[in-house]
Amino acid sequence: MLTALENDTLTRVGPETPMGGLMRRYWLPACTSDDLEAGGAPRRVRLLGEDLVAFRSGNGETGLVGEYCPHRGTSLALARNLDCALECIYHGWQVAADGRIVDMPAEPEDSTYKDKFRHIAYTVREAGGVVWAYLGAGDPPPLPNFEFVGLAPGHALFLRAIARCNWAQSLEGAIDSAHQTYLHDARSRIARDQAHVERIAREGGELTDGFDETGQVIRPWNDGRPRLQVENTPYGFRYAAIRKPMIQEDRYHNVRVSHFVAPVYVIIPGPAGWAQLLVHVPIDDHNTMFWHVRANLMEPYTDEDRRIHADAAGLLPGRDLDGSFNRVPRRENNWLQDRDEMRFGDRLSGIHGTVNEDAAVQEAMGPIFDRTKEHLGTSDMAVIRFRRLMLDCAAGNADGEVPVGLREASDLSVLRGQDRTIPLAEPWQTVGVAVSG
Amino acid sequence: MQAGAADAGLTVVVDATGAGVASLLDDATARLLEHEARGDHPTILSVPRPAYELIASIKSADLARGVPLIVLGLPLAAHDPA
Repeated sequence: MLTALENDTLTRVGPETPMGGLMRRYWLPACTSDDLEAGGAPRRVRLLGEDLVAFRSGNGETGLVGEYCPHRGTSLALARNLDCALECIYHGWQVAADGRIVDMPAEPEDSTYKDKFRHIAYTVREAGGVVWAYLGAGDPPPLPNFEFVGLAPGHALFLRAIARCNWAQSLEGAIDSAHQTYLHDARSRIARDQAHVERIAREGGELTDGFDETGQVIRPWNDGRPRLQVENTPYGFRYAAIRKPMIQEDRYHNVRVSHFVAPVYVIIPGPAGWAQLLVHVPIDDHNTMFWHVRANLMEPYTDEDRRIHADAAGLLPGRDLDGSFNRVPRRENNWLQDRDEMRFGDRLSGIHGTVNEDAAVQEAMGPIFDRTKEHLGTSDMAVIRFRRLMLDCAAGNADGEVPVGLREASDLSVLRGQDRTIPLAEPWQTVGVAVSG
Repeated sequence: MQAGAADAGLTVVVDATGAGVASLLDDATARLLEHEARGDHPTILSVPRPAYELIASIKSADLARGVPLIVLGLPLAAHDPA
């Protein structure tokens, strides 16, 4: 529950809004490095309500500039991409990556008009296969050094899709462990985990971390009421869902830890040998570019890996997505929910793919749900903390305070989401921090 | 206990105040989970009167159709700040 004003503050991200001001203090992913070809087509990028184009000029320089030509406003997505600037196809105005107007060929030959102003241009840097954008004023902070950023090229897979809802609505699904039991469950998963636990009970083994043949964590629990813990950190907060295992509950508890990294990142548990990051980049007040970053910590991705992961997430290009990251499952087709699948098949939601399941429930609320109408419970603790943290930061930022994540350096590369079954005597804080290897 | 008090069970009192409800809910959730960890079973959540009135205004449509004022699963009560 939020007041209407709080909900507005949380969800509106335009340049003149408190949350928009806060978001502009951080680096945000604009596109992937692979999206941009030197001298190739500029790519439309809408970020925080601003229409921009990203491009890599012929000489390899990367730029992010206002989409609309400063002359008469046509789209620079149509521009010729020259060695050092975009050239508008309408009248030949040339805009460099730093916003300088390099040429206005239709103006008088001795005109100095082009030297008198600059076009909108934002700072970009490339790291980890991502083109990061800083839409704020002044010097940007250090780039976020997520674990995947330090890996060799080819290890990280970027799955993306547009969520037709505001960024907070999208992100809140990633810090809501309780829904895992209900939205994402599958009969095959339940049977697999049950068999795992029965084998341990039969053979007298210990409830330690188990992985199936695809590396997925075997969950020795069916506890739909996790006990939650949230702990503020310099980067945001970390969050644990603690569950009773099906057996040996007097000796073990299962701890699933995720990290919220302000303003739009959630590090979640992944299979063995993988790191996972979910990113919820505000396109505008009503749309979010959702990134699912899956990093193989051991070896580069294969094409087959890409296909398997995109299929499981429900983000397979062609089948689930068009070329502009629009989902095929959407409100108009009820997210392709299959009632027969719900009754007789595997997925209890009747929706294919975990990301599609998340998108369905988040988009089904509408672009900005009226939060005065909801009824939260204590199982929503991380969502409640997230809203408070971001609202406090937005207000503080407007008052000149340094927001969370920027007050002191945090080494994000050591953070990993983890899902482990550990002895009861071991505190949950030992999970999901300072992970290596 | 004042407005909204339904019975004499375990009352959780939250004193945090702010312009909205985000901070109040966060503080209340933390307190309720502390009680839960101790095996307690709170029956009422009491908040400062201005916060109570704010929540009552937010939930005025619920109240108009007879739905009691419930926050985080508990009936809401008001107390006057000391």
